[in-house]
Amino acid sequence: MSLVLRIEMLVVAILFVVLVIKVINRKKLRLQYSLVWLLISAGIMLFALLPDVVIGLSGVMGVEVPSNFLYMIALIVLLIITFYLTMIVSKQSEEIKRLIQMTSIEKYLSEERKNSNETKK
Amino acid sequence: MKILLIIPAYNEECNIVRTVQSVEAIRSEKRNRGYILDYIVINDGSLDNTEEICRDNNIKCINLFQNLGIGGAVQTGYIYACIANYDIAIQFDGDGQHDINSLDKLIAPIIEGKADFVVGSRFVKPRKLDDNFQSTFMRRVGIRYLSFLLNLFAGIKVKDVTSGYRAANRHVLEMFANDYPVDYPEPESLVMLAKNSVRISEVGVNMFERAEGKSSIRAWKSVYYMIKVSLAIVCRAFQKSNNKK
Repeated sequence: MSLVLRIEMLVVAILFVVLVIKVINRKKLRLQYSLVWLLISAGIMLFALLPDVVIGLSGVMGVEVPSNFLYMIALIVLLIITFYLTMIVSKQSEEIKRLIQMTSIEKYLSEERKNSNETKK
Repeated sequence: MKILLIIPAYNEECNIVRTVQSVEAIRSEKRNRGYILDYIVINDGSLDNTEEICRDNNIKCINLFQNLGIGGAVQTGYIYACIANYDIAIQFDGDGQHDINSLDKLIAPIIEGKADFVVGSRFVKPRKLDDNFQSTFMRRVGIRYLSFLLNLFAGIKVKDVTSGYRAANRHVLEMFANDYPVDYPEPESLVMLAKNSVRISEVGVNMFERAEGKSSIRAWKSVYYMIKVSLAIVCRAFQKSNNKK
């Protein structure tokens, strides 16, 4: 891996960490979701500082060019994250559905109670 | 015996009053025979005047403040049936397709204790040939295919698997209040029931052609529909039943 590539990776990783921390503080990202991004930044920094790790691992995985190994890892990580995100979205739509159902029923019931009280009077 | 008709309605301002009137017309007759028959309209965030029309005509109506789709709307009815302690819940379309006079036939197997869930079918005899409605050719082919799929994966022997005219006893309505499929829920919910060893039966009922408005399943969407429903059925077929957990 060239020195330029390593510097680029390091800069991107540092900028990303700064961004994540800023966004957390603006309450636009939950701490629980920020962890995965911070871990990824740490991973990029590790690879930039210790290129031997990348070269060694790509040898083990049977990838000839170390940068291709980086692409492969990045792709897999992104795949996992988007999959996880669609899981979160599905869970949330289920929760939103339940919320709409329960509040709508509750509203109907309270109006019914009000009406029956008025007829009693 | 308390019976609730769940009437999902999405943009049904032309049909809803007539549908509810047909229900009101037979309420006193049912009361004389010892049943309490109530109905609840679930207005699924309609964009037309369904909400106002229901209010002006004193129609009992739960207004979902956002559109949930047919599955979410029907489930709201099941949750309500659960809270309000109904013994039987019946799904009944708001567009005037279903004939209220078939109600007795639909609930008979539940009252006799022979079934937990009854599907009202267009394809089961006896039925009058001239005045009812059996759907278009392509739709019948689709329903045949789904019926075959349900039989293959869940051993369900129901012909009219997409029928929305269905009756559930207390056990099933509690189950549906808890978990009900979201889009195009009829075939998928049958698999769910079969997996939980619910006794399903099918009886012939009368249905009319839609008075006004369009069916929710349109031609160009039907292929996508078939793929999605097939996937849903296969997935459900491999789901573990709640009993065994």
